[in-house]
Amino acid sequence: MDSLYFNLNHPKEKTNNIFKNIFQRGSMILVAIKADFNWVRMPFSNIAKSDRTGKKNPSPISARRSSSIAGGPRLKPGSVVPRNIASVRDDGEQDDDDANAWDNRALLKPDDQLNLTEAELKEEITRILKANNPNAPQNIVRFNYKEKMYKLIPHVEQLAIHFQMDGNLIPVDSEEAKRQLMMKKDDENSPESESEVVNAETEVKPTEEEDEDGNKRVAGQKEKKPANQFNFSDRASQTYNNPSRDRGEMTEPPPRLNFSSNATQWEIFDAYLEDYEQQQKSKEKKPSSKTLEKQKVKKTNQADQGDDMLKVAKSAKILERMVNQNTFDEIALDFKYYEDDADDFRDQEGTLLPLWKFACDKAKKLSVTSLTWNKKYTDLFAQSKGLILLYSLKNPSYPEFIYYTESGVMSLDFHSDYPHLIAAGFYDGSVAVYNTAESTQVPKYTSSARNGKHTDPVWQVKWQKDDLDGNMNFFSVSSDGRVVCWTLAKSELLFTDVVTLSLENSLESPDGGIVAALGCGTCFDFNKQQDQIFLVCTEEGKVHKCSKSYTNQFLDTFDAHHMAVYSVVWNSFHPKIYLTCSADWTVKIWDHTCKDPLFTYDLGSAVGDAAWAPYSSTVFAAVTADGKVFVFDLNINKYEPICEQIVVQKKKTKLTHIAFNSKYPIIIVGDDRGNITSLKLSPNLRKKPKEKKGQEAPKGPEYEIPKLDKILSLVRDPEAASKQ
Amino acid sequence: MSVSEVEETIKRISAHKGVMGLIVVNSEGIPIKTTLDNSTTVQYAGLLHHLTSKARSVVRDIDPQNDLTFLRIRSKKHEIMVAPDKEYLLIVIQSSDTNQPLH
Amino acid sequence: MDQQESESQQKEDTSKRHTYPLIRNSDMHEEMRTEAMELCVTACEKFSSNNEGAARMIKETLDKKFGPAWHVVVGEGFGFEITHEVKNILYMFFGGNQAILLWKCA
Repeated sequence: MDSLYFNLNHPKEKTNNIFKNIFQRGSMILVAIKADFNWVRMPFSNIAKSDRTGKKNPSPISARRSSSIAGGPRLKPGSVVPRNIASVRDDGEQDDDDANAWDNRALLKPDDQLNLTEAELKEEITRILKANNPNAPQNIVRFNYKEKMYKLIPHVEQLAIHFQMDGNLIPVDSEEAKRQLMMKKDDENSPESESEVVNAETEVKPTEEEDEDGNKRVAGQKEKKPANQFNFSDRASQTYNNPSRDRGEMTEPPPRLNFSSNATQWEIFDAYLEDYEQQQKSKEKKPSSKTLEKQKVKKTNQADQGDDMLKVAKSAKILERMVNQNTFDEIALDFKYYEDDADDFRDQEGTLLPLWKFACDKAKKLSVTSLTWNKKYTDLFAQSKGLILLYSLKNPSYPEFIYYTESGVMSLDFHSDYPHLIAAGFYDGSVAVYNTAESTQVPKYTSSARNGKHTDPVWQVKWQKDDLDGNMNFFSVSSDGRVVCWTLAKSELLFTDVVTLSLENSLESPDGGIVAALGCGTCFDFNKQQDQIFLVCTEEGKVHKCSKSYTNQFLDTFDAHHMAVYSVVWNSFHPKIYLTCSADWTVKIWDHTCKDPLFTYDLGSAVGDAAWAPYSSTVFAAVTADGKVFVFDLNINKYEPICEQIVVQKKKTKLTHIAFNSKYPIIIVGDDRGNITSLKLSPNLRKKPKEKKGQEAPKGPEYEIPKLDKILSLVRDPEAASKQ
Repeated sequence: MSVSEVEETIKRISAHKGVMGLIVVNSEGIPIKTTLDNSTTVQYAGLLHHLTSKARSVVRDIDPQNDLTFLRIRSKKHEIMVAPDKEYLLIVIQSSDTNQPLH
Repeated sequence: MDQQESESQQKEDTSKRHTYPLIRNSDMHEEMRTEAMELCVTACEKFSSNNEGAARMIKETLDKKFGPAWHVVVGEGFGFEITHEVKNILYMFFGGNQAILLWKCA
């Protein structure tokens, strides 16, 4: 290091001391003081000042130096220059003291100064200054391991550093300085509050320096010092947040539908059936024209438009029966299960248990003129008064069918093969056929005045087997004395007079002519085995046995009763036996081959109707005008009824008709007030033959006929019978 | 059978002893005719419509050729009778007190 | 009587004959419907006693052919209420006692 830099800002005294130290040691060193006035902390103003001072000094310094160099043989090395310097310095200090005396002063010579001559003065003394360190050892020997010997180290460090100090100055043209200057400039532009802080800082240091530099320092204060790079200040600010915005879009989902159903076995079955029917239809339709289809569609539409209530008609009927069944639950149970236990204690007599009563407001006080059971639907029976009512046992409260008629209905009969057909005879002598399957009030066939209708009330009608042509036909009997066969042709009712009831003793009219007097027919019945034979009864009390084959002749005539015969009935089993009942209080049982009755019973009142039981050949029942029902079983008691019971609620009610049900053990009786009562026969009244061991109970005509015959034989020939 | 006759029949049924009400329900379970008050009708119609269709389903599932013809429900207080038709249900509620045998 | 007999015979015949596939409800296109129907027939004949297998086969085949999310029900008795994509439903009967329901809904 060849040069020493030191801060000129150091106090001079310090500098002096440094130099003193250097020279006191007496070291031989070339000291080069490089005074660079471009140092940062040496502003130009200072330089100018030193220039000014420097102007005063140069001459004496140069003079003295030159003198000392030139003529200073006695000048001891190392002492000359410092002293000169020192003297210069001293001079400088005295500048202010005697500035004016500076020019006038004379050369002063120290006392001990040698007086040399010119020649001596001009003599040049050459001295060589070496840059060797006098204190450096000159003979250092070290062991050399390589050569295994001590060797002299020839080069020794000659530099001796007596003073070293790192300055805090930086060259003004260095990068760092430039950077700091730039920053300072920026700071000047920054807000004042900041610069004030900087000033406050800067003011602290310069106070010390002011002591020496005075004005220089004050001027320098205004210059901004480079910022302390370790002096931080944090700053933060919140920027404005941009508002965010959402945007979305939905695509349209694929269209969807809901579908629901139930998959069950019957749904599947129905679907197949429907499909099958459609296939059949499409096969059928192919030949047919489209117009037919259209018509069908129209029809169905019309049906749809009809009142919905019609669709519940059937349900409503069922429900009505149901409700009735519930209401008349007791009666229904009686009908089905009740057996009168009292019969066990009575030997022979029986009772009648009243069941339902059938009454219709519309038919109030209209006498029951006819009663008949439907032969196929055993729960259905018809009743005729001023109108025709068809009741079912299942609905006692209201008739199933009602037919309103113009004239009073006197007689009714169900067809045995076609149970929906009803023949009716009217008071005005006409007959009609109703079809219950058709929902009309109008009869299907009706007789008119032109086609041979009766002139008097028709007392009885009866269906017969179809004729040879297969046409349905029925017979009627009327007070006009005719028995007519009506045949149902395609659209009309054809009539054939079968018998005219001419009286044997024709009357002579007052004017001498003979009037063919006709008997008034009241009832008739066909023999169940030989249906060409039939019996006709008259108001005169006669019974005529006739045949379809002989229209104008009676096979036989009996004088049966004294008064009108109300009913004649063939026995259900026996082909020869029939009974008649009459207004003369009697019921008579006949063999059609005998002139005399087999049995005669006086019931004490007009007998309105009598009927054989369908289950036994020996049982019959009769109703009388005093409201009693009589039941006879010839097998048990040939002389007395086994049951005699009043079944009407009010006195003076006449019973007019009776009918046995073909299946159930019940009878219905009708009275003249329009009521019908159904009665259950107690067990004694329908006694079945005792069962023999190992044999089925004997049934049917094979048994019933001999049973009756046996009883009849007793009557005919009591002695013979007793022998048997 | 005419409409008036059906109406008459229905009138007769509802006038019958012990009958508390009669409801005609269409195929969707909506009552179209009733003799009861509104809420009761709706309740009966809804419930019985379901029960009847279920009952019919049972009968038909056992044998597809078979079908339900009538449904009677006897309860302590009532007897409910349902006559299912193809399109309509006829419901009659009858009180059981009147038709219970005394013995 | 003869008539009755022949009628009853006819009835038996019909119930026996009812094994063909019968489409009950479908809004599929003609081609697709035919294909689906034939697939069902094949599956049901192959898995005659295994409804689950049949349903699986139908479903997997349909998924491959017409894209995913097909649902298939095969059975003799069931009720359902479904949501399906339009033009993607088939409800049919087969074999007289089987119902097959298939629909697409992703």
